[in-house]
Amino acid sequence: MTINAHPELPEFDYIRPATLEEASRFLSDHAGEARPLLGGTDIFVRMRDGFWHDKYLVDVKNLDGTDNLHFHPTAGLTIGAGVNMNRVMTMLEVQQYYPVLAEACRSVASYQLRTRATIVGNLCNASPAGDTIGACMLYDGVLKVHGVDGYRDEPLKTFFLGPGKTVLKPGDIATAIQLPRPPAGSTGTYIKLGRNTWSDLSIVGVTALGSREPASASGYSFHVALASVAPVPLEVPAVHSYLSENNITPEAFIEAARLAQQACNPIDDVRGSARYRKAMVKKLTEKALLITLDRLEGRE
Amino acid sequence: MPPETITIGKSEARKDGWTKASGQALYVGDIPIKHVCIGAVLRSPHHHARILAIDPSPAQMIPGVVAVITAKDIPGEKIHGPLVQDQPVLAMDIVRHMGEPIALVVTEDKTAAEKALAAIQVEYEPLPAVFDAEKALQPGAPQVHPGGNLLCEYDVSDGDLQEGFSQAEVILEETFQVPRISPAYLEAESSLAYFDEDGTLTVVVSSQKPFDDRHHIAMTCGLQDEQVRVKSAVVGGAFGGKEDSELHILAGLAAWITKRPVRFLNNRWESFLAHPKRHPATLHYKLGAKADGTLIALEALVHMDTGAYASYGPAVGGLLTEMVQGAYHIPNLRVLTRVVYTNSPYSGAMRGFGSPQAHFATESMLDILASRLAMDPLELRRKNILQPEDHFFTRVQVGDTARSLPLILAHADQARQRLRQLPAAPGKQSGVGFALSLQSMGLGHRVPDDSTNRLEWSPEGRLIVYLGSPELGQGMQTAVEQIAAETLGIPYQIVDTIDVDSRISPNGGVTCASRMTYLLGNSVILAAHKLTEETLNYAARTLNLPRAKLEYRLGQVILPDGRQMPVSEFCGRAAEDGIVLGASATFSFPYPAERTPEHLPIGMPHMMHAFGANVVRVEVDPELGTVEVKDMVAIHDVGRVINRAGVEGQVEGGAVMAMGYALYEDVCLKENQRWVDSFTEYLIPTARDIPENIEVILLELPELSGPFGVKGIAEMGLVPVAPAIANAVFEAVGVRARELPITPEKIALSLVEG
Repeated sequence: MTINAHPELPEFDYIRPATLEEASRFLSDHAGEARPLLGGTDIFVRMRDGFWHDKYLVDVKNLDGTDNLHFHPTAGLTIGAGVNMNRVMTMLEVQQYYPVLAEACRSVASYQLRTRATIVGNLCNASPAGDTIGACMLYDGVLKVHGVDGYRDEPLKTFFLGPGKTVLKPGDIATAIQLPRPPAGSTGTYIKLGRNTWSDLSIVGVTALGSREPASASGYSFHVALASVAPVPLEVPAVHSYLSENNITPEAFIEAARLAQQACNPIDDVRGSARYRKAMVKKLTEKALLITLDRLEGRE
Repeated sequence: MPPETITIGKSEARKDGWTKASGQALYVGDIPIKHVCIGAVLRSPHHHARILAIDPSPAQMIPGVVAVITAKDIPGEKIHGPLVQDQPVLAMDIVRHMGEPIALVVTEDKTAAEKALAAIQVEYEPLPAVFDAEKALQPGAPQVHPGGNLLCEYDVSDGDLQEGFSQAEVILEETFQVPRISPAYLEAESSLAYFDEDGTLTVVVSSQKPFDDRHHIAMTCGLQDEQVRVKSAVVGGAFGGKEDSELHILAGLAAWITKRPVRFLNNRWESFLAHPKRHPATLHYKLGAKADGTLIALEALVHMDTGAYASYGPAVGGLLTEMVQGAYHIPNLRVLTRVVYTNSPYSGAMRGFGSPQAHFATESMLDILASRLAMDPLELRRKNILQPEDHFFTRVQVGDTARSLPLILAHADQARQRLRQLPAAPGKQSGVGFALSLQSMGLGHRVPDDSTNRLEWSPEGRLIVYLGSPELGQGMQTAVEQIAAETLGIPYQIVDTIDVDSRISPNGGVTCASRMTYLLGNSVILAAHKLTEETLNYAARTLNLPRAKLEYRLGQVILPDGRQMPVSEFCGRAAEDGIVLGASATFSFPYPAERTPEHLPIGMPHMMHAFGANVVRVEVDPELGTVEVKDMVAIHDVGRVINRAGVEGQVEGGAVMAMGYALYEDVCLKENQRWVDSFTEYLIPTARDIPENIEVILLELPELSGPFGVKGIAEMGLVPVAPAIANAVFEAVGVRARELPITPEKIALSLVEG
């Protein structure tokens, strides 16, 4: 139990490499004391509070392609690491094809903060509470990562290892998140429960995504991801299976919500107890599925 | 309708508004000063521990370190405290709360400060700690101070409790709990100490009481008061939290020892841990009533956690005791309040000063009784409100101020009916609740409660007000300028105010207790009359006319032939003669012997009161437990409005602050035994949480002793809001909140589990 001794952000060296290669090399050479910097909305708070003590912050914005925000009709959406959330959520194609991502961005803090905060930063920070992570997971996101050995892909499904922990190694820089084009007409919602109307971190977050799926028994495909109720952002495959195999009825959503509740493993903290979180996962999953169905059916 | 005025009642623009809005105002952190050193504080990581050894020497070796200061280096008094001398300037043998100062470092740059704090070696022996007032009084509890954990106790009663309860047809017992909250001002505590052009130790403070700070700084440095100069900086909010001198003492001490300019700026976590909070409390109520709702008896047992040091705890305990009665006639009433030391961060003064705690319990209790009797909560109150001829249980006569209560109830009833018509959003349930409030003004009987201020004509004929107490951002300066302008019949625009500077300002005491507009206003009116007299005397001498032939009207001296000469002409002439046309006056809060009960402890009773109410409409999501405050109507009797925009701002600000108390805020211990000490976890209302429209209804039933009829407004806008929200939540979903904050979790789980 120690108290941060100094009341302000500690000193660090700001590194601005010219190329990704240079950046990866620097980060790898200074493993444990250097960290890639995007918007900084988490890094600076963690450093000020004394949790992180990096000597170097390596600014990877504005490097090769990290400023790109691009939609391709077949390949889908590429969001560069340096693209802020306001830019993402106001892009027409995002609103049209990835409405759940736009909704998740809108739930993040305030306009001012979102001019700094990035989706890729949200992913790499790997907080179980990350608001945009669920949408990226459900849209089958794949991170483009530049390491000392060049580029590789990291699918989000296997990316998260624990609170703040990912498969990234020293020298790795996530340069973009790629989201394939979702099935036509797919839609969903992100519901965030906080202690106040908007600005708090989530007590529970539920992302739901649905589409018509002629190949499944139910004729639908539903996916659900949960925030703040497990050590990692949590997709619940059981919900997908259940709702693919069973008729879509209000009762089926209740059962699916129960499966989501079963899958989560929350903790007690200042924002809410594990008991409350479990209860809310059930309520909110059901609600998110109902909203998703309404939107699929054009009722909203 | 009040009579036609020059400026009273008008929403004159604040003169500090533009510099603040445009970022030009100089707060302590902004004041440019050459070669200023960084002052930083080594704080206890333990809740309670014995200090076995402190070794500053490794820190002293670090380049850029000017000095490391521990208790041993203090030349004067090593203990301070505003009411009780119990707080070490720097810890000596024991730390009693997390964040307690142990050593200071004075350095030339930030890096050196950081390294120095980490290098100081402190050896601790952790001790068991206690964080709950009731547990702290049990045998075997860890002892926070040698004299025991009970700091003080008030036992005030009137009537015959036993007899009262024997007549009661309904008896209810309830326990309420309110949290520790932070004033959460924009500007955390800050202090800048240096030596002025004459070599005098000068401390620029963000404070409610610069003159008291000066005294504590002088005591600690082993100086006389007049050897220290204090100046008030622009203050970024205070709310009671800046009545403690702690950081100013440290700044003064650091500069005095090093002979260097030093600036201390608390970070937010330091503000959370080491500056006063609102007292958490447990209030146990037993209420007896007739079946028709007539209140017969109330017994209240209150435990307040004052934390590791007394601060203003004893005074808050006293006022909380007085406020339990609320706006009601309760013939048999006893309040027993215990103020208890624990190892929590210390609590002290905060806007409302005990009244919000008492009102949450009293006003919730009234609604519980109404529900039990199947009565309308408003009718229940109408039956029991105080009348002018009634006495509070302190035996102070309520007087004319009670005439506001029927009007307040009528407004509340209208607002309630209107808000009940509004539909809830789909999936939400709407509820309308309300609560009445009582708030006193002034510091209480036998506590020095004066204000001294000075007026001067400048050589060019502007009026200068030398404030004796600091403006905190609340707008007192504007109100005082308007009162001065109205009294002298001159435009508000030609009145200037000089902030507190102990070298030139009179000592006007602490800015607190909803007393400033009343007290300062009266003092300024007295000074204005003296100034007029002095001006006419000077005019008579200059013009060689008898004084009795001259008159003063609206900034003009009226000559015997009816001709008018502007005061500015005499001001210029006086300046050439080396004469300052100025006058000071002191006004003391009246405690008239024939009306002031003498049987109570020091600080009791308070003699002046005002009533108000808050009506709120909430929408609750019955599944998630979330509460949104959608509409709010605040009704307050302020005696007389001096600046309408200012008063409305005070009421709205108080209401919003109280929303945080009701719904979000709690400085509590986390699982890891650390306090909630940042805005990441400690939520305060944002612009998106507050209702779009807060309607403010101001009643003006004049206080005869007040300037133009003024009562007070600073605190009471906050007082009725939390119970009004709790009562609205009950109407919406049937959940009775006995504990603040009313989090979504508490509501949802109680709906699920009953």
